[in-house]
Amino acid sequence: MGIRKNQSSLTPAEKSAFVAAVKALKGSGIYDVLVAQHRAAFLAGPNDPAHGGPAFLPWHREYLRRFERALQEIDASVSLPYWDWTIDRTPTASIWDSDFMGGNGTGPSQQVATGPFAYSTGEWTLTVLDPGNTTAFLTRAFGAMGALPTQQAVNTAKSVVPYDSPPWNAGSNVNTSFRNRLEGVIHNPGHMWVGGSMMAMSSPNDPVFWLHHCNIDRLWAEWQTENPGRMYLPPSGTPGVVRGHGLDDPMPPWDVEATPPTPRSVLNHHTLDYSYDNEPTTTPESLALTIGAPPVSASIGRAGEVDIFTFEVSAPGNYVIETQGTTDVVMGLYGPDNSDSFITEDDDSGAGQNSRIARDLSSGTYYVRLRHYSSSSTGNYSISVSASAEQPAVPTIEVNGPAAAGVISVGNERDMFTFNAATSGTYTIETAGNTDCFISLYGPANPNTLIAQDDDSGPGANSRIVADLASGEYFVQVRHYGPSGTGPYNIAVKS
Amino acid sequence: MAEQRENYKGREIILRSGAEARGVARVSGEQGAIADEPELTIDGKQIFIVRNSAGAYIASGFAFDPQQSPVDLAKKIIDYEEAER
Repeated sequence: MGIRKNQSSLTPAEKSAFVAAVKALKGSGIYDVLVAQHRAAFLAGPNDPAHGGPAFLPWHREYLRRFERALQEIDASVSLPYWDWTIDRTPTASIWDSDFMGGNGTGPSQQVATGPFAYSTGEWTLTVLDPGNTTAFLTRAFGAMGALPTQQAVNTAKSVVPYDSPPWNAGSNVNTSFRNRLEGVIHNPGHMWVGGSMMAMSSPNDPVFWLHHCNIDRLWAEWQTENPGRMYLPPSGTPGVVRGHGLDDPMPPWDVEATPPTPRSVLNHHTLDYSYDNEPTTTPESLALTIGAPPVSASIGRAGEVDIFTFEVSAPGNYVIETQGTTDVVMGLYGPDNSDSFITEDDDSGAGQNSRIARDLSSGTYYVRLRHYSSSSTGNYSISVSASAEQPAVPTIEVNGPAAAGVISVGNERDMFTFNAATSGTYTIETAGNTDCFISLYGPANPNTLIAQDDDSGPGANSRIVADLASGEYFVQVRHYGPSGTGPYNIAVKS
Repeated sequence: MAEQRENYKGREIILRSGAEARGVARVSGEQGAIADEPELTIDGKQIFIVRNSAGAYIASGFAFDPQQSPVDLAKKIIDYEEAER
């Protein structure tokens, strides 16, 4: 399995091998075919299979892997490096040295005149250009159009769940769409900071494109690790989703192949035969918890660490998993007997900033994944599991009855309601009040099956979902639009 | 036909939509979804534009900073050209 390294840690020989393979690919004509694929995606406008939608990350994962495999056919030792611009963020960073990417553009034309990709080498003439552009040389204008993303901005992006949200495009709310936040707030500025050729539809003309996107792919992989079970959204067939962006949609332009890649096929990057140099080299060991035993001490010892615990439920019943201490941890519960089967997640339902999950559990093995709320922070905590008294009942909203009252009392709180659709038909779920709520509808019967989400389709900042539902039990999750927002609200269901 | 003219930092932005825009020769090549797009020029030079999935506009050489209107996009392009001088 190839290991993708931070470019700043490459040896001179590794840099030289990467550059040589890239230039050989350019010489073969394959490089420009890849550039044209990227340009064609943009030119599809609203039907772009690669940008401005859920498949932005899967499409580029597949695209980068194809590029990397092409390089490896030239030199099997080469892997894609990544450019961590939260650290290497100045024009004097080593990435821009003349033995690697070359420097900034100079002169009125902003031509890149140094390094292996300078036009003067005779080996880097741009042939795939944006419509109307005739510039055959690489151009850059560092910082002319904004700054590179900061670590804080990356941390904020990585804290966003779910993966994506309606309307499943470039207009998705960046507080409810990890993908759109990563794409619009983190990825786009990277292109803009480099400027010149990197701002174009044909941006892979600049080889730093691959290093930039490799870092974006790494951040997605980290988000996936920190949010196991947070599946790619949306499923194929979701109304309004552009072809290629559904979970099992073949992704253009590779949809003509016998076994075309889909977003689902690239979700686990390890199956694509690569890993990143900052990933744990072994599967994290889990620590067994005993129900009813005293709390077990643990710690998030390094930024981004995920601790895994297991416990065995032999008698079905209600159980409470909770943390103690002053560290702001986020806890996810998975199982039974499947560490990837997501049940629920909690941030601050316990005392202070502790996590607490109370749940009716059937027999089996359960998995608890704990991380710090901030992916850049560490701290000590303890954790325990106990058989509990009754689980707090999920309030029921009477269809066509009075509105139920709720309060988001702390940041990131998620309130759950249930309602019974007695007959098939159109149902309207709507909040009222001055709190900017965001609602998610799940079911039928399963509180983990997402149907729809909404932010502001109701009056003012209220949420409204109108859905055709079969008869059954449904669940509505209410949270504040902002991660730290609080306030009272009412919620009603009408048929 | 509709035409909108605006001066920005000494540069002339013209936006034409409707029949007038459609009558103008387009850049050849892969044109995707541009058939009904308005025509944007800066100082008489035509700027190739296309709408993204959310209806925002991007331009040739300016794909990663979508703007809600072609005129806003033209201003961004002018800002960039000014900044790189």
